[in-house]
Amino acid sequence: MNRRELENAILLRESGELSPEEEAALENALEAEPALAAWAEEAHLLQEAGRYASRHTVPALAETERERILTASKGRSDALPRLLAIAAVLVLALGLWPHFAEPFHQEAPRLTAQVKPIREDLTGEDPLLSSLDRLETEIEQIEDLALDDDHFVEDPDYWASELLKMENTI
Amino acid sequence: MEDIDLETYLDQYRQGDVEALGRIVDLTRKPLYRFIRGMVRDPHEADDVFQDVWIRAVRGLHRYRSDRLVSWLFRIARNRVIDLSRKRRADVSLQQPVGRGEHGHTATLETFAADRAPGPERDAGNHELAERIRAAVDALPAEQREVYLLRTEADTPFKLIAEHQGVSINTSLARMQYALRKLRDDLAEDYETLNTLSRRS
Repeated sequence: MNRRELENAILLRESGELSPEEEAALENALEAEPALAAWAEEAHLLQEAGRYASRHTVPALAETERERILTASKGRSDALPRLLAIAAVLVLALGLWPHFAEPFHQEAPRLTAQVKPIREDLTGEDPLLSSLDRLETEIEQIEDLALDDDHFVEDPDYWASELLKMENTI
Repeated sequence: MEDIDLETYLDQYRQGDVEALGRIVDLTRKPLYRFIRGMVRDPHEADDVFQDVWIRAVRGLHRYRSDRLVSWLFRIARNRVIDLSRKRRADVSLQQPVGRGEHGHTATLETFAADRAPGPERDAGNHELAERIRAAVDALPAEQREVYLLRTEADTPFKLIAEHQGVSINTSLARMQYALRKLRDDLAEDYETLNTLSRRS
């Protein structure tokens, strides 16, 4: 171990972080190196000095601080169970509501409506359809024309020419 | 700090005994408060930080085992000190070294050795010496001061200090070495006497 590592080992020994083997190695090094042993004493002394200074310069914590902490803690410990109890009651109430609410359940109000049919009877004759049927029959009677004739599909001007013919005839 | 007592009190607190919390505070408050006072110079701010640490700690106290509790308290304290430092960028206690105390540099470290003897002169001398040591600690850079205080006030292992600071253990050790060297230089005049008396005792 070099000097820096030995100094680290001295610090780690003070903090109780050395293994027995490392501690034995350090003891050997301290015996062999008086300067290192002096450094170990110095390090210990300077740490003791810090503890000493704190004891003499840092006043004791006011008793009121302790009381404030306890009060804050008590307030917290009282409030938490209360809040949890309220939350539990709410959850329970929501869960049981449908069951307990059933006896008080009222039927939904009935709605009445008057529907006036466009046609009196679905089996009866639809005036619009019958008019169309009639028109179809009349058209077919004109020169024995059938509405499913291919001319209707293939020649868009067919109807125009037929009407012109009729007009000319008249 | 007795771990066994701490564990007992923690158990009692977990079972709803708020007074047990008072006993936990009693067991931990000295090192914790001294650490906070070492990092935050203003006594009122230190009191606030201390209280805040405990109020935060109470929220999670049910989860912690006694062997991790003290380390956890110091971690909360450290975080609160950092928060405070960020909030007040100009805080001299964390940003820049402070000068020596207002007292003259006249007392010797003989008063240190005479610490256990009674007497008003001893008290005054002790206080002056303590103020000088304190001023030297205050003058350390924040990271070094933190390592030094965690070691001297809380006896925190270097492994945990490294975890707190988010650095390697070697960095923590190096910071401690730098801190000790600087203290050795700053307390040179007192140190020789201290060393002599320490050998005698």
